[in-house]
Amino acid sequence: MRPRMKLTAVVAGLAALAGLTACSGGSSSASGSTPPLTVAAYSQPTLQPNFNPFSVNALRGTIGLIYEQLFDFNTAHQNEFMPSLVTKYTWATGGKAIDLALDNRAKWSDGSALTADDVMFTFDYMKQHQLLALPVDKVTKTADGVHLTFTKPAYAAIQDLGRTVIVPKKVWATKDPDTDTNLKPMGSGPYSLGQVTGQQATFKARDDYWKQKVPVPQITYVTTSSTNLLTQQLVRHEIDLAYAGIPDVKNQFVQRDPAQNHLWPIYASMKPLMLNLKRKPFDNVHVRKGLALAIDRKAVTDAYNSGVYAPVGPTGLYQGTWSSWIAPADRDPVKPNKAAALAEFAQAGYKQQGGKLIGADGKQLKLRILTVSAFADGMAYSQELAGELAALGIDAAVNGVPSAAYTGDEDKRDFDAIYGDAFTFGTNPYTFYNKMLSAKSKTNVVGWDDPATESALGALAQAAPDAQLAGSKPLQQIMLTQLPVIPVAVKGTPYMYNTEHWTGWPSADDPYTTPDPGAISGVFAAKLFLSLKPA
Amino acid sequence: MTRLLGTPFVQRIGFYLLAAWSAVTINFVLPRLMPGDPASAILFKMSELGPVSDQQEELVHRLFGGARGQSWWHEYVSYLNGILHLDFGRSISFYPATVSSVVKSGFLWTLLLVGSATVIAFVLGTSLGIVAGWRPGRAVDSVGSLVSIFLHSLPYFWVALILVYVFAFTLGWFPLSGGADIGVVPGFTPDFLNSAVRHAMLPAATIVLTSVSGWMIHMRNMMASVVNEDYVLLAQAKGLAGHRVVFSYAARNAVLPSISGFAVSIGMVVGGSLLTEMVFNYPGLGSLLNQAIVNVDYPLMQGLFLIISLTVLAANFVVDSLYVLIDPRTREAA
Repeated sequence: MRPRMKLTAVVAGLAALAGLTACSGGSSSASGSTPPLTVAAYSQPTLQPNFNPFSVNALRGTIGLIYEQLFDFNTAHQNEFMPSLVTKYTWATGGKAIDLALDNRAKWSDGSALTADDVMFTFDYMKQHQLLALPVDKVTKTADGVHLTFTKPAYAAIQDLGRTVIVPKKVWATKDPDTDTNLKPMGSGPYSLGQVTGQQATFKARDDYWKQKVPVPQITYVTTSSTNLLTQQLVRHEIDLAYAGIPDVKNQFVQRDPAQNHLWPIYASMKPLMLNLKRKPFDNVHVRKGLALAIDRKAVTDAYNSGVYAPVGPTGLYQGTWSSWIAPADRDPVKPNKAAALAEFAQAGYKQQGGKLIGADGKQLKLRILTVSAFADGMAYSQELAGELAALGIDAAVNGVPSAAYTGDEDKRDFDAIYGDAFTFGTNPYTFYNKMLSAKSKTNVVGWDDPATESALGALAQAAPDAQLAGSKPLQQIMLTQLPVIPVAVKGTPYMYNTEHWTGWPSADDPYTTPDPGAISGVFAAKLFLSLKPA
Repeated sequence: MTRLLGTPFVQRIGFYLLAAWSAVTINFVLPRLMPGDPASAILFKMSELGPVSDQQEELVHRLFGGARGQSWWHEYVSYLNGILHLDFGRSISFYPATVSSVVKSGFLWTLLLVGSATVIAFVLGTSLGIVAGWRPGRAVDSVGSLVSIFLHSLPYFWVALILVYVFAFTLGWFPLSGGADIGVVPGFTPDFLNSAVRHAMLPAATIVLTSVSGWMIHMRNMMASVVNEDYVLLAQAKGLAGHRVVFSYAARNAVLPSISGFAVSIGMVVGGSLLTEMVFNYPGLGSLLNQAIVNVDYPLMQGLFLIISLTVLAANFVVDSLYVLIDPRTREAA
């Protein structure tokens, strides 16, 4: 991993030297009529063809461009409903059933209609092959779509339900979803598969797409294995859309061509400082409160690509998106307060002596922050965190390790603190709090195991949409008073694009979709590519 | 002739079988000493890109969670059995693609790029070494040796980045990265070959530039010591033509150690030049190895290591056998 970090540093330096000369590098070989649209969709150097929408290694574009999902909710704009194959959903019987109205115009690429039978088949098929994590009991046909019943109220699973990929019954009935690579996909989406090589996959617009005329005739998803390469490709406009972090993104990308180069960070998850609650003294709430008060969240987020991460309030929910869910007093990020932090530490028996925070046992408070050494951003944020804590007299340092060792130590619970895991906000706070705090969650690595949390999560899981706000309050309260994890920042996905070839990109002013090439949601991706216009 | 060759060949074959078994076994053990497990690695990678649903999480655990479920002994036996049937299983990072198809996809790229660059570097370096070593201390030798020692001490990735920056980014003479242009279908078409060659120029140049000096210094030193041998003096005393003395008498003997070195480096070619492929985003075996390690993909790592170690063995075997034919002394020793 070290050579790579050096590479990054060297190129950052070189790129800085480049100054203005490089701006003219925009090699537009585009023949006026069909400008290219190239997406940096992979951080790995090579691909293997796989267009099986049920496979975790399906190439991007499989979902969204070729196959379509039911519906989704716009992360970038108040979790607004986004229709796809389904135009409307209606809950029934206290969340134990839902009616989905299908768009009756939908067609497969062979011209046949996409019907309720295909939807029913997909759910049955996924259930049969253990691919369905939703509590679906039965699926039946209705006049305008399908009716699903659940074994328990499924309000909290609405987004996962919406992201179900529908496949044609006649093709998939005989396929094995675990091993099929589906090299000739037949979907209902706006694109069909073009060429695939070891480094790119091309998608060609269908002229008979059922919903609308497809504006971008060809989309190419390419691999870019290093951030310095990505930076150069972005500056040259060889890449139109990317969403992987590059160092010093404002100077290295946006400022190179402020009129055409744009950056829009999307805040979809929260990255807390996670303390090992099974290890002393982090089981002591006063120690956790002291640490929370010692952190300057603004300084942490400014430590790398300022503006891509943002400080977050003490409930863990991002105040910019979730303000109506949080009591006004608890919205703003906690301000660093040295006196208050020391008072909390004092309650846990820690006093400052000669600049060191010494406990009742005579030892200095020691904290090692585990993080992945290969991620320059994660390392920078962690180092800033450790520096702030060290300034208070804590023996704090960063333990940067390769990602395999990181997940290994995490699984063995062998750490003082972690800064690296992020928790995604869903359409309601249930998924977020459940993954972070439930004793049953695999991602609750801190070891928080609390009956009050479990019962609050159980209630929120089944709460109807209008009861979810009230249902999230006990969990917010636990975050405020117990600090099972310490909220630090919301993690931004740095979505970068240029307007040389295509315009009409979603932006902070017009957040009609969450910019995503299909890594998270096919509905987001399809909406994005169907909304672009040639420049 | 056959009787003479028989014994050393049988002995060598025995040795190579033992070496192959050790390589295969080490190849099995090494990846398993790495921390982490495939399921967490995959989930971690997925969570870096975006949210992972419960559904995906369960799927990953169902498919890859059991990768460490069986006993090592059981895994080892089925691994050996798989190798005998040339079945390396399915890759984890590219699941459900098979290891053989993944390895095949990178093999030609690496063989052509690193292979041709290594041959060029060897031929060029050795020829320069002959020239420099023939008259040690002359201007050609002093300047050549100095430059080559300078080149030799440059860190490889730094040279690669400088070349990318100057010739690809600033001047735009060569493409930035990749194996071929976007939209060109691999195959024996003029379009593809042209594109692939243009994409291979810079990476090949960096390999040649940084490895040529190694060959040159080596050959120069061998030459410098051989030129004082009696048989070279005798050849000169007989009044043979200069080039004949240089090539048939001095260089022919001086090049022998370089040839064994060449065998090893030809074997290593298959391992790909990991850094070259990383810097240039080249779709060869080095890139695949990197992906296998990052994703804790044991089957793919095993497949790649096996190919690497077996090619090293095969290249050595070929050179060893050639030695027996070329150099009479090795026949006598056996």
